[in-house]
Amino acid sequence: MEIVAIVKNLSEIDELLALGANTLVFESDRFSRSAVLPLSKDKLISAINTTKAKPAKVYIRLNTIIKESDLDELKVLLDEILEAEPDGIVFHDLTIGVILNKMGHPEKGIYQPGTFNTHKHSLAFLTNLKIERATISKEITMDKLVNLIKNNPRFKLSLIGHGSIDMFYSNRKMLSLYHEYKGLAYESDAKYQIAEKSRHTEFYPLIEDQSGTSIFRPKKLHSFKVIDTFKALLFEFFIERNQMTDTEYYQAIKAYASGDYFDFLRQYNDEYDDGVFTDETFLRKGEAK
Amino acid sequence: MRPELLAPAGDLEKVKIAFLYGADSVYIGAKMLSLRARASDFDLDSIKEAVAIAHGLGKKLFVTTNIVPHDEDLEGLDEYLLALAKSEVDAVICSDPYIISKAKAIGGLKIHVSTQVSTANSVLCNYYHESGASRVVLARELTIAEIAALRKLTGVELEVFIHGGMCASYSGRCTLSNIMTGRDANRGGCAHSCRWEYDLYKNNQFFKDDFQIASKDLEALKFIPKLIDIGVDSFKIEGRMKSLHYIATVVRTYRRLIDDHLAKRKIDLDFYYKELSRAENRPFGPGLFEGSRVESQLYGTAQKEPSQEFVGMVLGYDLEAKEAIIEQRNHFRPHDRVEMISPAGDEVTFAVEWIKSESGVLLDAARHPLEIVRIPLARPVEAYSLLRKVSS
Repeated sequence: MEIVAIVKNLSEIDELLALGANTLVFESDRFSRSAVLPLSKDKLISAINTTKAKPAKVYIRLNTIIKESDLDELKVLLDEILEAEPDGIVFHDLTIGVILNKMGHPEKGIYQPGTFNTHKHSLAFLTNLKIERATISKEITMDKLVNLIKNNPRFKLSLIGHGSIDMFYSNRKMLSLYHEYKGLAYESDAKYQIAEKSRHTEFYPLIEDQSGTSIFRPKKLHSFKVIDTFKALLFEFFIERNQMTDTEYYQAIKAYASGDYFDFLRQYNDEYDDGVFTDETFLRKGEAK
Repeated sequence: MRPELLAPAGDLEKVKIAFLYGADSVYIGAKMLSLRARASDFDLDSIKEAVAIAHGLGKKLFVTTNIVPHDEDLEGLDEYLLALAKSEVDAVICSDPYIISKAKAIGGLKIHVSTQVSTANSVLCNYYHESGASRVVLARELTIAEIAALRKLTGVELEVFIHGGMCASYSGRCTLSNIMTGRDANRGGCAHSCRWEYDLYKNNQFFKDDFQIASKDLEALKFIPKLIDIGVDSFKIEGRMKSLHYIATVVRTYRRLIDDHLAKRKIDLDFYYKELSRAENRPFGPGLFEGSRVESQLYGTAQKEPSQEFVGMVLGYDLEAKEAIIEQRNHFRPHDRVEMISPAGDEVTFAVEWIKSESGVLLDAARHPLEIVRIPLARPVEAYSLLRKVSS
């Protein structure tokens, strides 16, 4: 299992690799949401070249919904960054998989839709698009996850297994619209969270950018309890970057790379939980858990 | 081109009402594979009955199978899809690629790609078309200009939401309900956590106490002429959990507007707005047809009172006695001013002169749910006409 890390600063590439990251992810200022380092097309190409020269693997993550008005710009971006030969394009909207297929580069595609790769047959259709890499959805339990992996041996599968996981992605610019409604100045650099009126124990981070608004889980996810299973089954393991200090992020990479995670949990345990790996969420109204 | 008006229905009575009040097609969900499992009364027998009602009127019936399934949800999938095909449903509305492939393999089922996958461009529309879908339900995040541009580049039928509740998130991408309540938003258990009230914090300090995520309900009256001219094939109304009165009123209003536009009659939008207000109990706005705007967001109160209260449904008319036979739905009493709307005719407003029980006893009020009562009415009235109280 390889570790995939998100780059927040172009000067930290060597450090991330030294800590144990196998692949570095760069994000776009047009087609990535909640990006920690949104880069223009030219800077993405430069980042690909720099990373490949290390040498190290490099992915570009494009995770917005693609609207009709985005298509021309997206195709130009893909055309030019593919010339720099990144090792993968991580995409959220299937549109990019279709375009990669038409461009003759389906092998670059890594389908990361967030919610849709939930069962053992979810990935079969990707074969028609000649896409062989995908990320399993974030809300299924461990037994289903293992079942999905074991039933799809021809796919190289990954998981977003650590960090702040989004649970909501809207096209609406909720923070700036709210400020506009209230007649207040919106500070885009401020850190925003919401809390349910009746439950002030959990705070949900919000990030607004050009693509809309994302809301994140109140606690960050860790996979330390199940990492040995993942190591045996997964091709790649993504460590998310949002809502983390640089030190915390580096320590997380080191913990997964070395297998020594006790210090990490001792320091950060209160901010983390193990998500739904052990917690079924099928509950419908009136059904017992 | 005359677009289809597509209405929701949570039970057989609502199927009939939707058709009678002007829907060309109705979509329903069964308990299996439906995002509104809680709203559904439909099993295979009642689906067959709904299909018979639709086809008897020369109309269509679609069945939603648009959850994001887990392994256990797929048990019995082949048999279920085969049964739907044998029932002659006109299409299944799907989001999961595996369910789409199974529906295609079974044959006899048209496939509509659900808005759950947020299809927002012509590349993806064409992909689904080439994969066997006859229709794509577009993402609700597209502007009118984007829909117009997309329409020119795809041959697949396009369906657009025009009215009703909107996910604040891109559909199918939200797990608020999963994380906050343990109920799976994408498998029929959405707790509508986006409609709760939230406090907003800024830089770890309390900031405001009235932040809301939710959007207003969509209302697209002013966009209908443009959407018709663009060539959208189907106009969809949301609301399988909505009341019979809501469905009748909303369907009837959009039916009139579409027909008026196609007949080149003068469009008075205020008239249609007033009609919708008679049944709508949530604030409505323009959605994202003009982009992400303040007017689309829900701030302040989440509820408003419909201007008129639904009090009864006509079961029949006694020609000899000149009395309407009414099934009570809400309290009303003699001398209340009421308005009768019917599937075909104009509304008629009058004061209820008296109310009698089925056995002929004069009543001081119709106070029992589903109680059958009679009121005097000089002119005959159709079954399924609705009686609503006019607010003073």
